[in-house]
Amino acid sequence: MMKKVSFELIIPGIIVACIGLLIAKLVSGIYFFYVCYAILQMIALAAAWNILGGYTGYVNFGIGGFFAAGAYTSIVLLKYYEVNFLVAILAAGTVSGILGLLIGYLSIRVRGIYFSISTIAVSTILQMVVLNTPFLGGAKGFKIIRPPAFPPFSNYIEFLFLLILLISFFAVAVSRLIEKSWIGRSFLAIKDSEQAAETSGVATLKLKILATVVSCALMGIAGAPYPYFITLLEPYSAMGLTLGTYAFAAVFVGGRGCWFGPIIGAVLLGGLQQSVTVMISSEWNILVVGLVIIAFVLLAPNGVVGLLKGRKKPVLLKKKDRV
Amino acid sequence: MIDVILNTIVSGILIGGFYAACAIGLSISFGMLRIPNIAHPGFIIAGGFLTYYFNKTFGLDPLLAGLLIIPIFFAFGFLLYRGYNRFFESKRDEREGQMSALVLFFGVLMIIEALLSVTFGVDFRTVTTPWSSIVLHFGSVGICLRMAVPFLCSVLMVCILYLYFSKTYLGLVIQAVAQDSMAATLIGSDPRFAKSIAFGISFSTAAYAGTLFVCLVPVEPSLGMQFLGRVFSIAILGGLGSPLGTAVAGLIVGITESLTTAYIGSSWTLAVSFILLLIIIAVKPTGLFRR
Repeated sequence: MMKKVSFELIIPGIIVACIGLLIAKLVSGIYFFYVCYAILQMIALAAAWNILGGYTGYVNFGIGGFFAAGAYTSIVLLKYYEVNFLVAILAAGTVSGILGLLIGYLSIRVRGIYFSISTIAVSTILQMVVLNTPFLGGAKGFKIIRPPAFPPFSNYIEFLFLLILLISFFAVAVSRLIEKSWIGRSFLAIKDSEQAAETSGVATLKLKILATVVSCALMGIAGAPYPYFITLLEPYSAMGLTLGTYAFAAVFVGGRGCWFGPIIGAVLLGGLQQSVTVMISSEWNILVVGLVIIAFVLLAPNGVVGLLKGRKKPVLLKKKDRV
Repeated sequence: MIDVILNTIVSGILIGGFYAACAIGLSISFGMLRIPNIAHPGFIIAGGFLTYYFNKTFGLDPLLAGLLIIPIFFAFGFLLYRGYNRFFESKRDEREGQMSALVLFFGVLMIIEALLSVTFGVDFRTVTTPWSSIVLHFGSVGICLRMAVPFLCSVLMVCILYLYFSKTYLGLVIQAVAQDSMAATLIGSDPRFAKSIAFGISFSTAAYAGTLFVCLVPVEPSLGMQFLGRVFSIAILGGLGSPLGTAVAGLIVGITESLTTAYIGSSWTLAVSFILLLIIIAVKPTGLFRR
């Protein structure tokens, strides 16, 4: 297991880091890094969402809440306690993971839409808590001044870029590890039929909680560098539904239950989003993303990956059974 | 002291009735038809904007304008269900379908919000009527007509729907289809038609709830997303599919919110319905009034 982890995580991680450093050295435009950051963050969130939503079939709409929980944890630690960035990232993951545990326990009793709505509930309650806590910035939020750049980076955004690159790599690698192991197979069993899985000896409860905790913790980790990226962290934009919507839309565009689906989806959707926002306006951007989601759900339920793999014929019910 | 409590409770009841009007359509579409229409609040806001439009351009009374947009929404809902059934529902199995449908309607919600922002702009819109600033006094309790009229309309709406579903033939057929559509086919009803009608009704209630919304408070396109949780918690609290249950649940949420605003702070109001929702989901997911 350790050997596998080192092969799947550490060595490719070092390679990704080197590539990231190289890009940071070669490219000089700041805007490029902003776009890349947004897309990489979407990849990280999408991969994290995919672990719960794609593999086990529990739709989490509260992505913004878990993401912001990570962002707030990291900024509080960095601002008030001046800890190391790495510590802040780990703490962000822990806090969101604990919140994920809560959601996991909810999933014992409810599934389907009830689960989805309760994730929105948890996320909104978090937003209310932040709004009403002056310690967390309240409605005003935190204004953050980026620290000066340090070598080898010529701008702080390059450092953030490298950080989110590694985080998104980590998220994708974790989801790949899960997918390729017995855990991933159990998740699929849960998705298809929870009762059947339970009967055949899959510990559904433990695994569901594992999925929610890992998924939410990764969202929190993805949120940790966000305050420095956005420089104004306030509850409405950070915890709104928008950020999360793009993340799960990316999964639907790319392909659910497949580790590289989120990457394809996030790159396509992120690119589309950036170009529409720049060329037309941000309202049209929401419209376009909405249309893309609907088109993919209706026409290509398994996303781009499904299209590439060739269309599996959907199982049609006989006409008389259709209601 | 007692006056404050009394006034708070009265305004909670008034607002709660309006909440019931918002949630009842969802109770029909989600509770009876198993369609997780999370775009419902979006359609409410769209109804509000249409009412605003009719009021501004033709000078119609908003309550009358609301009656005019009901047929539009009914037809739209009817056709939307046809399309949904044709291209989506009949092609997926139930569990997989529900998850995709959630995301599908989320896309619809986004589109409505974007279209509204593009056509009407992101400003708050409201209508003013001759009666909207009148306040009636009963002893120490003041009742603002701006809140009382939507409340009365909501009560009327709930009563009509209750009578429709329990007394008319088509209403009973819809209920039968909701319980077991296969069995309903055996007694000679057409489930697809019945469901289309029910979805149309659900949309009509959204339209009129939107009218009441715009009479009550100013509306703005992104309110749909904010209203999502409240509408869902009321529908679930009321035991999906029961008009009277929804009304009671609306009152409970309204009164609780009103008390929260008065005694804890208005910034916590939005959390009330969600906390109630989490409690009800953890304790009794079938709601208070599931038959």
